[in-house]
Amino acid sequence: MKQLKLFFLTLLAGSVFFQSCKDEVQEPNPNSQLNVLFNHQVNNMLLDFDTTQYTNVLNQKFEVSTLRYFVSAIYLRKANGDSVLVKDIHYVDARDNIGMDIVKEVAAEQYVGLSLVFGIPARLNQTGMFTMKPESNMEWPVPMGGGYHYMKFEGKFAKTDSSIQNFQMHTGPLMAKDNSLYFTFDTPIDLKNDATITINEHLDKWMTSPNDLSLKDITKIMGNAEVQQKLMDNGHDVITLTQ
Amino acid sequence: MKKAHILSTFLLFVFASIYFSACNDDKGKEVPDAPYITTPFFLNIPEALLNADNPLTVEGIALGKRLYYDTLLDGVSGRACVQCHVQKEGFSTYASNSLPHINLAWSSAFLWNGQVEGKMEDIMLFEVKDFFEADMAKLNANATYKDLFKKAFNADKITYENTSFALAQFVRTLISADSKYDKFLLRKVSLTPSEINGMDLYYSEEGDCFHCHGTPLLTDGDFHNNGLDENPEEGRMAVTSNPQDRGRFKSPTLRNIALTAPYMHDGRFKTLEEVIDFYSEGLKYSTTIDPLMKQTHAGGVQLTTQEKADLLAFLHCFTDSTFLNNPAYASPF
Repeated sequence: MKQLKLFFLTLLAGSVFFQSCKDEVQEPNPNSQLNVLFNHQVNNMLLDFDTTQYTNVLNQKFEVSTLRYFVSAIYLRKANGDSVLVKDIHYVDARDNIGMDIVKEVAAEQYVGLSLVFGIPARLNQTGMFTMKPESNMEWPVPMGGGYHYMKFEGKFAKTDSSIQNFQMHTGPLMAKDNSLYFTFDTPIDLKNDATITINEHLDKWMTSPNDLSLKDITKIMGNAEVQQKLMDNGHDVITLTQ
Repeated sequence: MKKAHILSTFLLFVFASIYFSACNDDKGKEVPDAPYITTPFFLNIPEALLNADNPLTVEGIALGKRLYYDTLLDGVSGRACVQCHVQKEGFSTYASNSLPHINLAWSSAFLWNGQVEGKMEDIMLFEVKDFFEADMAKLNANATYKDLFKKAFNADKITYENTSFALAQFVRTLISADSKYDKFLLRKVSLTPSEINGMDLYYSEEGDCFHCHGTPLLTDGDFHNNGLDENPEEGRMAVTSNPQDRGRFKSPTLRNIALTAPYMHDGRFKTLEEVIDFYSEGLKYSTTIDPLMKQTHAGGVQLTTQEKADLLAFLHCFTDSTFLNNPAYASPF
């Protein structure tokens, strides 16, 4: 009898041991995981830095060396009009593979679309809000209105005399004007289960439609309100969404 | 039967002892013989790259400062940090052309080509072990240091690691943020018309200094080929083996720039005037030149004589006499 008791006690201790570090019994997860990937293309080809020569609408040959930008106010939309914030401000450095994805737990349900801002809306774009690199290096100088660049898209191109010239397509809030671009995609996104969506940036589209822009004119443009406006106009189809 | 009894008792003991220790994360921690008390030190600055494993303390900083100024650190030829990093010269020196020890609390890549990456403790470990080849036996034989390391880290033994931790604490406190330009931003002082013109050049794409030397650190902490040579040296490529990094060197901070001559990674320019001339009309094209370099084809940004003078006047606004004279950074000897 005594041995039986002891054996029972031993079993009990064993079972407590094997249970002790286990997590609580899992309830069905009411959330799904949304993966947002960032993809960059030129003329429908995946962006490659420093080596591939691309051709723009004006037949200029160019290479890309830098692509850094902010996307902000990324919201999923529900059928009832409610929105779910995915990320407030997100920084991407395509060359250094920084910020190439966002992972977000959201309620597991069907969404009717997604909206985002390319750049940072004026109400959020305040000098000093980033104190650490790499985001802080996107500073837009206070004498030019302050805040942060929306995008630094840089590279070099061959001029007609074959000499090489740099270009710097830097967009931002010139004198605090909100030049950021608002995109709304009415694409159903089924998040009853985990899902992945991709935000694509088509770099060639910055240079055309409606304004065909020469790379010769894409240098020292930060203080040029006219070029900033033209780029904003061209930006209407720069971002697409795929699943 | 007796055997079963013994087995059950043994198993009970094993399960019980494992149960009470299985979820304990503190395994292997040693209880110190006696508690030691340090005095926390708070840097009143925006977020910086601090190290939770090496919190700033008054004792740690004082020890780091002593080591910084002490030739005992050098195991070979009696050098000290201070020989290449003099406070009055912005914690740099003309002879060494070393990068200044200013605001490194925000830095994560060190030396001109960034060969040491990580935390301040990492670069200090490199300096202690590889540069100075510090003789730990010599330090351990020094009663004063034994006492100071005990007070700062509760350490009975002085090691490369805790020596680098102490130095890292001190160097993190070397913060320059009280230049004329800082005071101007706080509306405490005015700039002269020439300085204002220089500021406009600095912060516009006409002069375009700000992309690599932006506020508040006046460096982006990044690596650039700024067009010094048609056939540039390896630079960052020596670390990454990436040919695209040829000629790329770390942007130095421009804080106290008037005092940290000579300029560029090889110290080729003796004066700020020469530097401005270079960016104005001396750029040379190479395949890895940074696209931020404007008008490379024309040699540079083409400043007028007056613009050069204005820019120079503004660069002098980065001199921080509070930093240069701060007794907290001065030699303890």
